[in-house]
Amino acid sequence: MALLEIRDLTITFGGLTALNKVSLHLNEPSVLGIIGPNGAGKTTLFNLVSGFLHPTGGEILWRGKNIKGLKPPRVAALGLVRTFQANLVYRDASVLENIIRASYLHVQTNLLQGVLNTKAYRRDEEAIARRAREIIHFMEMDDWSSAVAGSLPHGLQRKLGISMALACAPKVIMLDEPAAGMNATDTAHLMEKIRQLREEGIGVMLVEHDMRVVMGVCDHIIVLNYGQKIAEGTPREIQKDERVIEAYLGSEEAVT
Amino acid sequence: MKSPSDEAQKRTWMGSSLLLVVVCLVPVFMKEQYYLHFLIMSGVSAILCMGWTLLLRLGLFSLGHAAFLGIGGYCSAILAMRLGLSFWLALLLSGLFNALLAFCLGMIILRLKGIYFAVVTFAFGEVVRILYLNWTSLFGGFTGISGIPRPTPVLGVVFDSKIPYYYLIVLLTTLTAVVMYRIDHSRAGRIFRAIGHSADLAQSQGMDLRKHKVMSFTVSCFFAGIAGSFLAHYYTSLYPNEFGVWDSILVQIKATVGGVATVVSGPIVGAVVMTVVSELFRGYMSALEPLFFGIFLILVVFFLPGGLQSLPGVIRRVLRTEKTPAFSNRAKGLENGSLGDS
Amino acid sequence: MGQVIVNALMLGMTYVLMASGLSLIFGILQIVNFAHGQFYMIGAIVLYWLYMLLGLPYILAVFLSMVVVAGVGVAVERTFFKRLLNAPIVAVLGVVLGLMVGLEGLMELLFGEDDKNVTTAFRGVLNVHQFSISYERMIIIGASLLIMILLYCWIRYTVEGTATRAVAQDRRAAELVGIDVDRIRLLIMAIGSALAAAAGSLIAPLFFVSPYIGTTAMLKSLIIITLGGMGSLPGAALGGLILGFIESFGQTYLGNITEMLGFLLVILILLVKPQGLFGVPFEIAE
Repeated sequence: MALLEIRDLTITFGGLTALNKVSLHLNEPSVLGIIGPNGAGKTTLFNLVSGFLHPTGGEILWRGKNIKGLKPPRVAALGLVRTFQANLVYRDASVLENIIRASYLHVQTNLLQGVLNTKAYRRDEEAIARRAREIIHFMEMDDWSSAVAGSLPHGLQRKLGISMALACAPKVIMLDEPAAGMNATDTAHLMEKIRQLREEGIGVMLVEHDMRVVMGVCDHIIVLNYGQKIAEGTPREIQKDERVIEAYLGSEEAVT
Repeated sequence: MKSPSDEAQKRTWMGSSLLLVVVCLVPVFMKEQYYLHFLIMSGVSAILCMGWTLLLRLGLFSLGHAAFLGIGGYCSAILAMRLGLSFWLALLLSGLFNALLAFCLGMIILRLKGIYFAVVTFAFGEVVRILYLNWTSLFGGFTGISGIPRPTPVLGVVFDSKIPYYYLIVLLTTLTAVVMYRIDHSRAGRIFRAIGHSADLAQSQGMDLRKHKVMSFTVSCFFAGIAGSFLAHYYTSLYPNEFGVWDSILVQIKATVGGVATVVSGPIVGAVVMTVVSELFRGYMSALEPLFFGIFLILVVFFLPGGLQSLPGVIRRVLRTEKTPAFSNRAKGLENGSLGDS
Repeated sequence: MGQVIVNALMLGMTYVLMASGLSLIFGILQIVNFAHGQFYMIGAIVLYWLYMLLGLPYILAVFLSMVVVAGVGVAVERTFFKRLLNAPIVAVLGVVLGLMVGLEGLMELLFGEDDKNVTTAFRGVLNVHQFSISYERMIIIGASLLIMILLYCWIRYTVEGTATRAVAQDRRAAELVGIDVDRIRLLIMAIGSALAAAAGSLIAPLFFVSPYIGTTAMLKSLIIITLGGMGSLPGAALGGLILGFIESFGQTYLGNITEMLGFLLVILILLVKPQGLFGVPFEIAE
């Protein structure tokens, strides 16, 4: 059974059809890349899957169960976690605190126990803090753990975004342009992390513009243009696909 | 914001206990009972301000908090006078009634964002006030309710002077403070801050917005109800126009002046200082009061954004001329960026 | 019945003036100016000073009070709002509420606590069939209508008006095409405040003048722009008229409960259609 299956997903705003009958599936931990020119509907797809938008047509199935219409917190609780295209972090808290905040889904004790400061709660909190540090270590941000999130350079903020998503114990993680604005070193690190995630059994859906990342890390790629899927296949196949080349070149021409 | 380390927490508890002892000794040293009135009113304000600040954590700006004070008061008065309940029972029931009302109201209105929520709370406050004015049989209309019974004696203590009231409000304020402190410094506080800072991010991490907003609203209004009940049996009379928009704005002013980075110390400081100041203005200079409050609030917003409770920290930093720009936002306690940045 | 309608129109038009000002300011500066009601009050008080104390002709006094309050608005914008560009909502609300409280206090000191009367400049009554409409009320309706028409023309046909619409839609885009957003902010603040002052001065002869009338005016303006949609001028117009009619008919037929109706309507609208009837927030819809 596919982890995530999307069938004929459609959304229309007013007169504009932002996404038109897009289908895809994500089996077994693997890395699925979603590429396409700007405005193709990639982030819209993420918004739909994660519950921030309601589709006007189509199905979204998580492990065979329909999750269309679920609100974002419920989707996250199922293990389908997303990051955002913008640098969305808790700007005034430290990196560690950010990740601890994000560990909401990971708790064993309830809020009342928290207010009463019971032993079980304290143990729970320690476990959360420990796990947060593990994530910081995994993302190689140890030096930055007490830095204030808002003061971090751009690349680190993106890493923090990914770290927070990891704190939600995802089974599938949806990364929205994680490499945006990153330099070559950071990008290489990112690719390594994505591979490691796949090894740990976490599925990855990746929206990216950076072709090195996409071609280097994805097992399977789908290409969107104007809200429709125009191609899918392995990186090699996509690189040779004429429709894809045309879609990208075509849009480049419009710019120049 | 990190929850304070064990060291810091211990210090806070010790410091607060010391303060509490001092507060309890005040009537012993204060000869003029009249001044106890200021402190009693400060206590009531403090409870309101703490509750208001808790809501602010989630990005909820309430302009109707005084209305809940009034509802608590009227509820308690009616329970005591119509049903003959003792004050102590009425106190608890008023709090619970407020909590229930907040829960029901909250389920409906808490989905509204920022300014819309503020407008609804103030519309609600006005609706309630007009209700008091017009439903004369139950609420006494313009003349309100008078002859509210004093609290029945307990443990041999009779409520015939300000002193027992003083200790009661100290108890209630302390209780509220402890609960608020624990909420703010535990996971609940973390969740509230997350939601207030970025609802989208919080949702994507599994936090249900409505559930937590309703939770905080219920708790906040519960305490407002308790404060209201106390007020009714302290004044022994209630007037509808004491719980309007103006009074809600005062709650905001006191809390902001005190400092909303903390849920306990800031609001308490603000409540005490501004209540005392406002009592000083009464009589001679009552005309100056609004002007002063307005100016003071604006000055605080621009020059001391962390409020009065951040003053010791600011002074220390100025003396040491320490510059920690990355942390200055946190020190000011403002969640969404700092004043003056563009 | 006719009287009730006339009252409704009169109230409605003045509400439209005030609410439009608030809506404009919200649309361009993105601030709900809780001190807007105080501009209304200051307009009425300045009118009192100019017309009753200095004896200036009524129309001139109205005009001048608009100018004065426009100046106050600009001063407030330069001193406070300009610094609030990226401030957290606590700070913004703190400042506008501080202004609301402070301005009332200031005018209390300058004007005194008591209600004062402004004698009407237009005595007499027009008799049409069985109706009698006082000239006073006609002037109020007429003047308000005139001002709103001028405002509409300004927004539609002048360069600044168009620039304003651009800023309301997308500030950054407007900046990129070279619009001086700062100047537009100033302009709108002046216009918005002047509108409030106009409402205050025009209606002053019919009610009394005191430093405390601002709060009620603010409450009503909030009701109106919530009903109509914050930032929408047609919304403010419709909302103002609706409220005017509700109040007029309500007072006559329902009595005191009327006060509650406006607020209940707000709660209702916020639950059913939070953006308001015309709401597309952050836009001066045309």
